[in-house]
Amino acid sequence: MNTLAETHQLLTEEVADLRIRLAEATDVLRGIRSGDVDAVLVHGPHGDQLFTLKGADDPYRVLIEEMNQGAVTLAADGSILYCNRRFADLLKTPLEGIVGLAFDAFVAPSEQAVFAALLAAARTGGSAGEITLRAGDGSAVPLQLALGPLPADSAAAICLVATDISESKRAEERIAGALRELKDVKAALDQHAIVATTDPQGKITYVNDKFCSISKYSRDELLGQDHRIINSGYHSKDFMRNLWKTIAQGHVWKGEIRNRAKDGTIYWVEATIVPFRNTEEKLYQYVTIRTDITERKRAEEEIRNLNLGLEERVAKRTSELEAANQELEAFSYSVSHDLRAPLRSMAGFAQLLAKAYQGKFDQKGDRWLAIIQTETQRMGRLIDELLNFSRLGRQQMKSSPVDMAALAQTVIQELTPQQNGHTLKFDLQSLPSARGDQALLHQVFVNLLSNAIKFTRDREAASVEVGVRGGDGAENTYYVKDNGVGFDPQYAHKLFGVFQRLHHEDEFEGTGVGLALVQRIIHRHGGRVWAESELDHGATFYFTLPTEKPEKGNP
Amino acid sequence: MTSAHETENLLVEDNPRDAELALISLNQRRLANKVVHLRDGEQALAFLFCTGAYAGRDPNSQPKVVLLDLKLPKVDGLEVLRAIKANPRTKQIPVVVMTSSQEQRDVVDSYQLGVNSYIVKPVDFDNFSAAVAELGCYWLLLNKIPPAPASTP
Repeated sequence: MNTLAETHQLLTEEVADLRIRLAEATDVLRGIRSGDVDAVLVHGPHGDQLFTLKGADDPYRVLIEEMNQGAVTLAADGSILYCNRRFADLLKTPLEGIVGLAFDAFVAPSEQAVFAALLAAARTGGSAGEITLRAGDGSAVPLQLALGPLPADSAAAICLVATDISESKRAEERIAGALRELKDVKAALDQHAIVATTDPQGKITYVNDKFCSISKYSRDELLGQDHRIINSGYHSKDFMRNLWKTIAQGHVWKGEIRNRAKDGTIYWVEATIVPFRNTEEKLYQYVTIRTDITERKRAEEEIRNLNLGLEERVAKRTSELEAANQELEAFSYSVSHDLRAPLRSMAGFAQLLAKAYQGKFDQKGDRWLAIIQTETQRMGRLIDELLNFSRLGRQQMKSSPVDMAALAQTVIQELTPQQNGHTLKFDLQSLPSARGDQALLHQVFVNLLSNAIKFTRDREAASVEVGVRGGDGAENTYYVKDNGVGFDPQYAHKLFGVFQRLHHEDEFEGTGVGLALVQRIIHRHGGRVWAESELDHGATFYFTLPTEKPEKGNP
Repeated sequence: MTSAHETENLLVEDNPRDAELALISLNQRRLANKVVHLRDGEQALAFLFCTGAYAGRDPNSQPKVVLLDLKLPKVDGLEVLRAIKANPRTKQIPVVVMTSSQEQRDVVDSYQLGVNSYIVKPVDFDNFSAAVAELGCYWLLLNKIPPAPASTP
């Protein structure tokens, strides 16, 4: 029965122990409730375990929930024990869809090995690396992970902090894109232009292949030199000084430069030099882009030479023409003096003969003498008209408004004696004024109206009409129309030639200069002249003249 | 000094035919009796200024009119005209230019040099004759020239 007592003793002690522990537990609970206790160390078969209590890690919890990184704790087997809201947001997945799952369930298949390595390294001291997770919506989320071990006695084995690097990834991509673009542009530029950079002192710090190939220097020969190495000595000191002054002041310089290659070849470039400043606003380099314009320069030179040659030729031709003109003038001066003199003698002595020996020749003799006299007169007229015609080409024109109707009226009156009693009906219509040389236009009417009178003299009811036909504001077309004998239109082209006649001398007298003179005068006024006719049905002569109004734009 | 106007008329003409016709014309109007015919400008100047072959001529006896052709050998008509009109002793003498030339520059030059009349010799003899005679008449008979200034001391 001893055993019973022992048993009782044991139970009593046990109850007391339990009471003590209950009291302790009650104290702990009270402490925990009151916040005096924040952690409890529990002795267990696997050693001590520390349990943190809610009241104690509240600030960390808030910190972790509010931070901008994803925070995760993993169990030793890699399953997620805890994650903050930010991490759930990053994965676009609700919290309850994350906690309890294996972390690698979110790792992209291609990165599983990377993650496994990070995880392994984390267990033995910590690791960091980039990894891409797959979010709930399937999108890839690039993250920078930092992993570290947790104390052995904690429930979680690994803590993990995830930083969203998609923004910096995008920035990286942008930079890479920009770099690629720059590289493309540079590659294209290198295809097109001769590129070099120099430091502020002008020492060459970079040249592209084109620079080397056109200058025929190697890159090594060029780097560290200044551009005097390709100076052709063509440009003035002022030119170079101006160039340097411009770029040293931070302005872009553009211009054409003549360079000399290593082998002495001359080449021309069109250069743009751009100064660049660093962040401290200090000039740190000049970038020069040049284009080979040797060919263009050569062409320009050629054109210049051609122009020069052309000018010389024009000058030569002009002086030749002037000489020819002077010769012509001397010729006509000589004609007017020297050709008339013998004619005068012939006419004079023939006339003296006719008077002094009147009645001493027979009929045949009288006739022959008369022929000599008539022909010398005719020769005189021909010379006079020819001189008039040549004088017209040299005479200065005086341009002014001309009242064409009044002019025609005057000429009609002047010509009345030519009608020799032959009745002629003049129909002068109203004519617009013209712009031209009064005296020369007077001559035009004299010649045209004389012709009209001459070629209608066989008509019983002769009529001559002067009028105007249409006009475009810049010029008017005047006409002189008669009902005379006309001319055969197939010879119309010969009408205005010097000494061209369409009628026989014994039908209608004339020298064949009148219409040539008309044409010359009208042409000198910038007008045209032509004629229409049918044999025996009259003729109409048209001519155009500029209107009285000065050119548009001049009030 | 006794015959101040011994010389009535000076004809300066190199073309003998023109000269003959002019003389015939003047003769027909009875104006040719005191005509001196010279053949070039040099002779004309010598005559008018009493030099060379005419050194012995009386400088106070000057022609009443000079009929002057323009195109003359050695010294041309315009130069003769210029010399006559530039010298106070001769500038009063009427000068009639008779020429074949209708060239405007000859006409302008002549008038600028002070010519008194300018006629273009027509081919037609009647016209020529009439022109010569009329001018001759006008200057010889109607026009009284002022007395020549006293000779230089």
